[in-house]
Amino acid sequence: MVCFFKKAALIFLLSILPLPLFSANALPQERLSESDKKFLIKLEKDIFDYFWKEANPRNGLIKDSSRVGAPSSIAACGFGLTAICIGAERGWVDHDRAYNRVLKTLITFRDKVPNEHGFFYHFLDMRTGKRVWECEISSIDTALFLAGALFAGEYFKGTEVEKVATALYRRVDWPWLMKNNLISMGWKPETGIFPSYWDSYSEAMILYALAIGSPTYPIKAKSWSTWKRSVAKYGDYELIYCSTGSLFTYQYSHAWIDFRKLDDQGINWFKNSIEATKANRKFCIDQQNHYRTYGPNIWGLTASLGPSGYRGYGAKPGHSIHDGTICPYGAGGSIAFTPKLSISALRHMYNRYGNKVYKKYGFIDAFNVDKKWHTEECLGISLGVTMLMIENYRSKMVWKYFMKNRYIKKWVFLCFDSKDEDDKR
Amino acid sequence: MDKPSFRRRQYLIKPVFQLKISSIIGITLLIATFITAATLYFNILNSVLPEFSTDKLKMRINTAADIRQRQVARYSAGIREEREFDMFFPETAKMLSDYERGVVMEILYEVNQKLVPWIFVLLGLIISFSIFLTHRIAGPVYRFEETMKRFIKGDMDVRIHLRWADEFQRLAKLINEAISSFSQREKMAKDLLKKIADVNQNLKKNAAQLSSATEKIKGPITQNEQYIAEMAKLLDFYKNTK
Repeated sequence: MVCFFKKAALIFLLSILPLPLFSANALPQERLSESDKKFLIKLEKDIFDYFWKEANPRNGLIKDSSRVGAPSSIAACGFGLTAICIGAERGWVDHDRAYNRVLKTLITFRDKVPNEHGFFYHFLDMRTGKRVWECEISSIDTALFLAGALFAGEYFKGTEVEKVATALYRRVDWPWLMKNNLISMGWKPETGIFPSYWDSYSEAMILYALAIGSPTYPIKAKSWSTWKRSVAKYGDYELIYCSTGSLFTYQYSHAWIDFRKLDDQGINWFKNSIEATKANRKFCIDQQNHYRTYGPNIWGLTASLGPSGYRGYGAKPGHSIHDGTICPYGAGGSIAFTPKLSISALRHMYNRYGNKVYKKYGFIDAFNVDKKWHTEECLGISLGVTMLMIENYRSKMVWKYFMKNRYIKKWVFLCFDSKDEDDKR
Repeated sequence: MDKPSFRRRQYLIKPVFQLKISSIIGITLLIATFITAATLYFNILNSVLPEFSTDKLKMRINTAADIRQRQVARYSAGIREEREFDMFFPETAKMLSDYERGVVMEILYEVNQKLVPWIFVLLGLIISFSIFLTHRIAGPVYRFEETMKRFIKGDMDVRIHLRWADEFQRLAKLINEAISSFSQREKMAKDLLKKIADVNQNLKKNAAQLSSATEKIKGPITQNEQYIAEMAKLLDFYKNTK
């Protein structure tokens, strides 16, 4: 009898032990209504139109924002390369046209866009691909571009696209911006390497992943564990947080990297982003007495345009800079983490504010009811993360292709799988 | 002893010819200059004006503000701003911002890009004109050379025939006249020699009948025959079919 109870207890334990891990690994698959599905497809298609139409067809550069005269941003190009492949897969653009556009973009970056040790300037002239104003060589934006390039390489495997994408990735001299196992945020010819480093949890996970996986100029694998992971709690939600509290920092790396099955010394970053999204929403709900804009279905504090220009809005845990401005893509970029909450929020904003907040390329970047303000602009990076996350939610397509990349596999092997310390040196 | 002077005092030796050649070269260069200037003028103007329009200025201010705001939002540490001037820009370019200098550089670059194909077109144009021009000079020169070679070989029928548009028409006419004149005199010399030979023949016949005078006349007649033969040999060099 005792033996039976022992066996039963063991079976019970075994059945519940993997639960936390399993629940973190699995994509939350709440049942969507037909109208929710249609809404998501419409939003995704409208966003795709931005990346297809707000580009220079002669060189493939994609605009940073829908504002007339806006320059190109390399991060928008990275999201755009991925978006165009999704468009080809979904049949929104002819496969050959998508291939040609992607190749043109990559060739422009290879041959015309100035680089420093393989890194690119943050903003580029739409016509010439040259540096705009005195913008910086940006390590994170280079990484976001390269993520898009490598994804396109995987999607158009065995073609010129893969060759050029890989060549662009291989020429980046990651250690050039390194100090004390941390990567600097950027460089300017006028001032040199920035004294600011990606030294704590942020959107830079993809930057470290690409730098560690590099076949030509890799950085040490121990860099992955060098950046700080500060834990904090907001309400019931405990998470490793980014100092700004901006929602996008919990989303960008996840747009390409499938963190669901990766166990980083007990941390599951996918689960962490779920917690961060929920905390962000709770913060907005808690602040609704101060700001009329916020509510259970109007939330998402993330870096966006605002009444006083672009701001790094965020919630707690973090600095929580906010003024009542909501970026619909805060909720939209978390669709793979919190599908039900995110879709409810997006639909609520759409139904409540209609054409004021939803234009031809989807939602505008931000609005603020308290200050009776809304922008007419869309930002490529906000649109991009939302589109990629919608696709990941719908088909896991971006994750599927990106995780096949051998350099990403190398990073996974060095930072997650291998227990051999020699491999990590 | 005075050195002979070869300095040309008159530069317009053949004014019509020289003016014609100068006009062709001048017009070609004028066309080339006009096309180059028009390309430069319209391209720079078309690029400069929109770049400094109010709309563009507004866009630039917006872009600069956007970029600045992004940098402030992202980088907590201040970024030192120092400006270095490009050695390829003139001193006055210090009045421009880096962006504006970039725009000017870009415009110049684009104009150059547009000018390069035109330079090839103009080069082709100048080369074509040059070939056309030199053909009108080199053709006659070739004809002169060939004619003189045949003339030296004794061909008295040779004449220079130029095309209507060729240069040196007058020179060719003069040379042809000289050859005709020479040919005419050569013919006359041959006729005269024939007459002298006939007279000598008669003298030889008559001398045979006069036995006493034979020895005294025979010698000069034979001598005369030798001179006639030599003269005939010399004139035979010139072939005249007419």
